[in-house]
Formats: sequence, C-alpha cells, structure tokens
Amino acid sequence: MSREPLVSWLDEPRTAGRGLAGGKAASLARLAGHGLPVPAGFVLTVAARAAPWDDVVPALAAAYERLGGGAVAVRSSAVAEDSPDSSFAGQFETVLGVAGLEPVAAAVRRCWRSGEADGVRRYRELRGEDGGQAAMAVLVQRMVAPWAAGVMTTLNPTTGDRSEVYVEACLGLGLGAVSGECPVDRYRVDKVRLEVRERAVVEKHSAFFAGAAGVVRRPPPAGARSAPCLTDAEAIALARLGRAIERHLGSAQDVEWALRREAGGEAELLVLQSRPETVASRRARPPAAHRGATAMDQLIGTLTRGRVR
Amino acid sequence: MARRFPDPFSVAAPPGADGWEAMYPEYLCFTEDTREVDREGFWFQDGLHYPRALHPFDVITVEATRIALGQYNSRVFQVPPAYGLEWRILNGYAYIRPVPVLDPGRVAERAEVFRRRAGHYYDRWDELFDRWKVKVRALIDELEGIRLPALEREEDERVVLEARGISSGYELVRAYDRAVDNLFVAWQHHFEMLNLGYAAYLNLFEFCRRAFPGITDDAVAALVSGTDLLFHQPDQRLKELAALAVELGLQGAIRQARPPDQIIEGLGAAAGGRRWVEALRRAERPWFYCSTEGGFYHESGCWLDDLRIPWAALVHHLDRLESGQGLDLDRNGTLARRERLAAEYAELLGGDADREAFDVSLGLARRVAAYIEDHNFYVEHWHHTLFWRKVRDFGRALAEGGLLEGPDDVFLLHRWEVAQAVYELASAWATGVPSRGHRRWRRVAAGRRGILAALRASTPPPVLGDASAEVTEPLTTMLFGITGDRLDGWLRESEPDGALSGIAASPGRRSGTVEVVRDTAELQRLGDGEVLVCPSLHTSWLPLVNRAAAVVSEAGGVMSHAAILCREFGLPAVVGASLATRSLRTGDVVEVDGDRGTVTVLSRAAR
Repeated sequence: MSREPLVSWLDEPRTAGRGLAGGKAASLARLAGHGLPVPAGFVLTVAARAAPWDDVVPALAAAYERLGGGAVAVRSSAVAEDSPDSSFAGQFETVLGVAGLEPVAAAVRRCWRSGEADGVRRYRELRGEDGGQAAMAVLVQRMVAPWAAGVMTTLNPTTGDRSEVYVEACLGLGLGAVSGECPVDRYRVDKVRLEVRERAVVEKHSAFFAGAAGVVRRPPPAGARSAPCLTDAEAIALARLGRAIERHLGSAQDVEWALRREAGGEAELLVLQSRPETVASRRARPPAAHRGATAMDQLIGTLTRGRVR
Repeated sequence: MARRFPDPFSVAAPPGADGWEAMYPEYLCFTEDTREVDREGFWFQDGLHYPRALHPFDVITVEATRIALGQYNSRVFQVPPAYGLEWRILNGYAYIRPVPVLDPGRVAERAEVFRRRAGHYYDRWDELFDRWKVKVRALIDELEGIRLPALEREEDERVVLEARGISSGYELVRAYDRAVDNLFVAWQHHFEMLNLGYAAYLNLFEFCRRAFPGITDDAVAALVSGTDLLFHQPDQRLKELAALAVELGLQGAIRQARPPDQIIEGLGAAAGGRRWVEALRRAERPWFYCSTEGGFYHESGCWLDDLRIPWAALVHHLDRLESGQGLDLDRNGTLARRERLAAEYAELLGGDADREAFDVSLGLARRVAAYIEDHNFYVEHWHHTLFWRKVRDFGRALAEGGLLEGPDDVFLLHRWEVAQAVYELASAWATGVPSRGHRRWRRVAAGRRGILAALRASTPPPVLGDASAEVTEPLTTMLFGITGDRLDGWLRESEPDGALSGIAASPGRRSGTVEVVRDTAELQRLGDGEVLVCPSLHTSWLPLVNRAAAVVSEAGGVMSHAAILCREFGLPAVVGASLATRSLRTGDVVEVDGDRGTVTVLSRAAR
C-alpha cells in the first residue's frame, strides 16, 4: 500500500478524490480544476487524521507558509459530507479568520473533533448510516473578506423550477446567511436568459465580518444597509457561475459563495462550497406536457386545461 | 364577498353626453332587452384598439370584428372552451365579454371538431397564409377601384350610348354598399387565421409556465421572436432613405425646422434632392399607408397624411448614422440567440416527453408568428387607411349635396345612417326635389359633436360585471392580457400610491421623466430618454418611440404587437398598467421595471 499524502493542494488533480480530501474539498478541487474561482488552499487529508500529530504539524506548517500565512478559513471536509445522499449541512466545524500556526493547528483539531460530535452521530443514525466516526479531512483556505456573501441553489427550492438560480445574500461573511442570523436580500435569476426575475431587498441591520480577532458581528455601514447586496449584474454573474458549477458537477447544487469588490476594480466571485441539492431535486416533477406527442394534442390539452385529450 | 365589478347598467353618462346611445347601432348598447344576458360574465374595456371614445361611424370595425372573430372561435374552428367575444359600446368606449363554453360534454365534442379543422390550417399554414395575402391584396385593389360617380345636373351620355341601364345615382348607392362590404370581408379574413395563431401562442406560454413556474412572459416571447416582420418594412425604408440622404449630402436640408412637405418641395430644386424625393415616393406606397395609430380611428391618418412621424424617425436614423452607429436590426443575432435559449431551456426539462412537447409547441408558435404580425399591416394599416379615405369621399359628396356641413361629419353618423344619407342624396338627385335629410343629418351631426367631446373627456371603467368568471379564450389572454390574476388585481382596486403594476412585456429597468402621450400629435413632445406613458402603444409609433428610455401603456398583453416590437428594439416596457395615464403626469420621474412589470414613482412633478 503506497503511503497517502498528508497534504494535498486544491489545484492538484488528486484532491478531487473524496476518499482522500473529503466531500467538500473534493468538489472544490473539481471546480478549481475546471478553472472556476475557488480561494487558494490545501487539504490535510484523511490520512493525516490517522498519522501521528508530530508528523502532521511540520506538514501543516510548511503548507500554511506556502499559502502565504495570514488569516485562513479552516473547514471540515468529511468523506460522507456533501454527497448526493447526505449533505451533513451545518453539522461540522468551520473556523473562520484564524491566523498563526498555533491557532490554525487548534482549529484543525476542532474540526476533527466535530466529526465525532453527538450531533453528527445523531444525523448519521437518523439517515440509517453506520454510527461510527466520520472519515474527515480538513480544508485550509486563504480567508476571504467579502463585500457580500451567501448561498445559492441552482434551482428554485420552493417551486422546483430548474430554469432559475435562487440566491440569498447578506453583507460581509456568508455566515450571516448560512446561519440564518442576518437579514438577506433574495434574488431569482433566469439562468438561461441570464436575467433577474425578482429581487427582494431588505434592511440589513447586522452582518458578520472577519476582523483581526476572528469573526465579529456588527451593523454594516449606514449607506450599505438598505441598498441591494448585489447589483443585477453581480446577481447575473453569480447565476452564470451557478450554471457552470451545476454543469461540471452534473446535478443541481447548493453553493456557498462570496463576492469581493475591489476599490475601482471588478467584482470577484468565489465559490466556497458546493454540494448536491438534496430536497427539491428529489421531489417528483409533474410532467409539463399534456398527453400525446403532437402539437395538436398539446394545444387541445392547453385549451381544455387537460380535461380533454 | 360578491365578486363584482360595476354593473354595466349602472354606469352613468358623463355630463354633457346624455343621449349618447342614439349615436351607435342599438345592438351595440346595453339595453333592457339584453339585461339578463349582459349581466353574465365580465366586460373589459378594449383600450388596446380603442383607447378613445369612438365616432359613430368608426364602430364599424367593432361590428366587423364582432361577427368575424366570434364565428371562427364558436362555429368555424370550434375552439373547445370558448365561443365568441361579445361587444358593447358604453359611453363611447368598446367593451368585450368573452363567452365561455360551460358544458364539459360540449367542450369535449368541440375538441374533436377543432382537432380536424384547426389541424387543417396549422398543417398548411404557410401555404394558406400565401393564399390569404392574395385574397387580401385583391380586396385592397377592389377598394381602391371603387369610384364615386359625380351626380351632375345631367346624366353622362354614355349611360345611354353604352346602354348601361344603371344610373350614376344608383351607382353611388352601390359604391357605398361595396365599400362597407369590402371592410366586412377584410375583417372576415383578418380573423381567418388569427385566433388559431393566438391559440398556438397560448399553448407555448402555458407549457413553459408549467415546466418553469418562474419563467417570465418575455423569456417565452423571445423564443418566438426574430421572424422577418412586414412591420419592419416601413422603418426599413426610412433607414434606406437616411443612408441615401447621407450619400447625397442632404442631412442639413432634411433637418430643417420646417414642415416636411415644404422641405420636400425645396429638395426638388437640385438633382441630388430630386433623386432622394423619387426614392421617397417609391417607398411611400404601400409602406407609408402605416397608420399613425392602430388603424381603428378615421382621424388618425397615415404617414402619408402626416409626414411628421416618419420624418422624426428619419432624422433619428440620420443621427445614428452620423454618430457611427449602424441601423440594421441584428436579425441573424436574434435568430441565433433564440436557438441557444430554446436549446438550454429544453436541456432543463424533466424528460423526453416534455422535450418533445416543448419542441412541437415552440414549432407551432413560430409557424404562426409571421401571420400574427403581418396581418396587421395588411388590414389595419394598408386597407383601413384606404377605407377611411374612401368614406371621407362619401362625406365630401354628402357635404357637396348639402346633407352635411363638411366631409368629416360623415363620421358622426353610424354606417346605417350614412347608407340612408347616401340613398337620400341619390334619390333627391333622381326626383329633383331637395332631400328630406337635408336639415336632419346636419342637425344630428351638430348635436353629436358636443356629445363626443364629453365622452372623450370621460374615463371609462376598465372592467364591468361578474369577476368570478374563468378566462378561457386565447385572444383574451394572449392579446389583451386578461387573466384571472389580472381580474383579481382590478378587484383590489387602486394600486398603492407610488407604485403601479402591469405586465412585464419587455425586459430591462430604466428611469426617466414621464411624458404622457394620448395621441399621435402629442407624440412629438417625447424627448430623448423620457418614459413614454400612453393609453395604447401603436406599432407605427415605434420609430419615434425608439428615443424613449422605456414605455408604459395601459392596454395590451405580452404578445400584443407593440410589446413584440419593444422587445426587438430593446426598450423596457410595462403594458396593461390600466391606471397609468391617470396616476402619472408629464414631469413625474419613474423607474420602469420591464422584468417585473412595475412602475415606481421616484419623484412627482410640481402640480
């Protein structure tokens, strides 16, 4: 048996292997491999969990240094996570805005422990899975301090409409939207026409930001509160990204994303996570067609509201 | 809660308009005899075609539509759930009631007939449309060929020498009958294929809404757009004339601040100018028969009568040419885009049965598209421009015979009354005794002038009657934009202050200063980057409307002609915003959201 690497970078093809890098990191690696924008980072592989800690620390230190040091996001990436069968959404640890080798190492251990936590065990039992320990890798990425961030689903989670991307966006870190703690603007975007179908903009009185001492929650600047988080052009760029992700990964996706606005420059979108959408895409889809294959069958079905065929 | 709009029998005549009912044929009015039947269903005002109160004569297109449209739904093709549209005139405005087929057994029987008969047309659509054009061109020629004999003191000697056996007097009576008959036949053909066309549109729209609940109407419309519309032809000619003017160095002359007729006269002085004027004359027929409105009002005139509209468009094209912008609509780009969109939506469908249904439904909608647009130029513009001129000729004859004060007063009589007046004119010529109607028709016309002004100053309620009715008729939904949701919206009555909603007809979001335009004359005021707010957007306005930031109209659905053209010109549009010209005023600043169908007031003009 060849010895598995302890560290694997997101831009290395092998990282796309779930058994090595866990579900979250593997799908990000696949997207990075297709040229989609993913923050730079590396994975402490599943093998690192089983390796002696004294072997792991030098590997982590070298990789952290190569990444450039500074603030990073440390996130769990379990083998079973983000699979089409189980999302494990919100079950594992994520530590944002960590800086320095010691705190990063501590964050890695917190992620590992979260794989053994009660909540995860319950989730696995509820889903009828083996109640043992989750095979777990840990993803370390350069910290993004976004203007706005949030989630999107590449179909409408309520109506099941496959032709639209549904976006929830908060100011600052996407945590505000993911945790449900901050007000979100909502967008529905036609992903074929690349056109905003609907935008619902709310007053955003609070948001999470990455500060020197980790994540802080505070009111956004007054001027930003009642304006939309995203311009229509940004919402459309996001939908375009969503469509590309779903095409590369082969099914409807739940995506966590972030948007950086450089002063005077172009806005930059980043994919933080993508997992298969597991609810609306499973729902039975009623046929749109009336019975019969000809235009006249369809027409009579329409005129009589399906009462006559 | 009773779901009722105002009762048509309880709407009062506006001040100064008492007795208006006598202006119109009795069968178009709400009367005691029809009270029971007329209280069924709902009536919506047709502001799309008839935004202003109608002259008595002009209701002739209502009458022709009433017999033509209805029969194709009810008796000819037998649209399963819908009989015809019933029409009424109330306070001078036209109202429509769709008549549903309520018995499910009848619906099923009709579906079988419809499958056979409509199928016959759909299967041969292009061939039948070609034949249609021949038939309608022949009608137009026949109409142009109708001559009004002059009633001289002595009959033309040729009546004797050629042993004609029919006098000029009776020829005049026949000429009028032939003109009216010609119009009715034109409307028979107008609807020969139209109802089927809108049914095919409805089918595609409803399929797309079932497959993609959030899809917008204009996204579906974009799948059909791109056909080579006849309606582009008038504007295309103007573009060619603009290019020729640049080639000949005539820009300065054409831009002079003088009436177009004077400019044209001046151009004739030099060789280059003469060449340009010849090109203009070649383009004029038939393309300048383009009505300045929808073709439904005798007073609209056409581009030939009022060159200001084509002239303004011409100058606009000159501006674009000189600033280095091209003029051509990118037809190939539109076609390529619609193919890409269709393929991508198809890819997102749930399975092969849905893909197949989408494919055939889209194919059918595209097949009918050219007819739906082009019939309009043939009938409402070309034919009707000639028709209104012909009727004015009868008005001139009646005025010369002393029965009317002036030629245009003929439009203050309805078509049966004009028949009587023409008969009286001819009889008086025959008997040598002054006509009995000599005083009467002048008196009638004089009284009606004031009534009509009072009717035009009044605001018609948008909908009347029973709000719980189901909308089953394809034209009602696709052309007029009337749906169950729309009825619910009306029922909630007035919109909250500051926002107005309608139908998202052409995508995009733009703000600008409002210019309320009620008729073609007011259209000249529209400035660059303003928001045009109008009762009904006429396709012939489009060359001028190009300069607007966005369009809001009170009437129309997403597949109304104007909506289609707004999409092609990339102008954000909200249609069916039924209170727009009343709640918005020139000078207000609004944002028009053509994706969502809303108009938001950003600031009010000082009042």
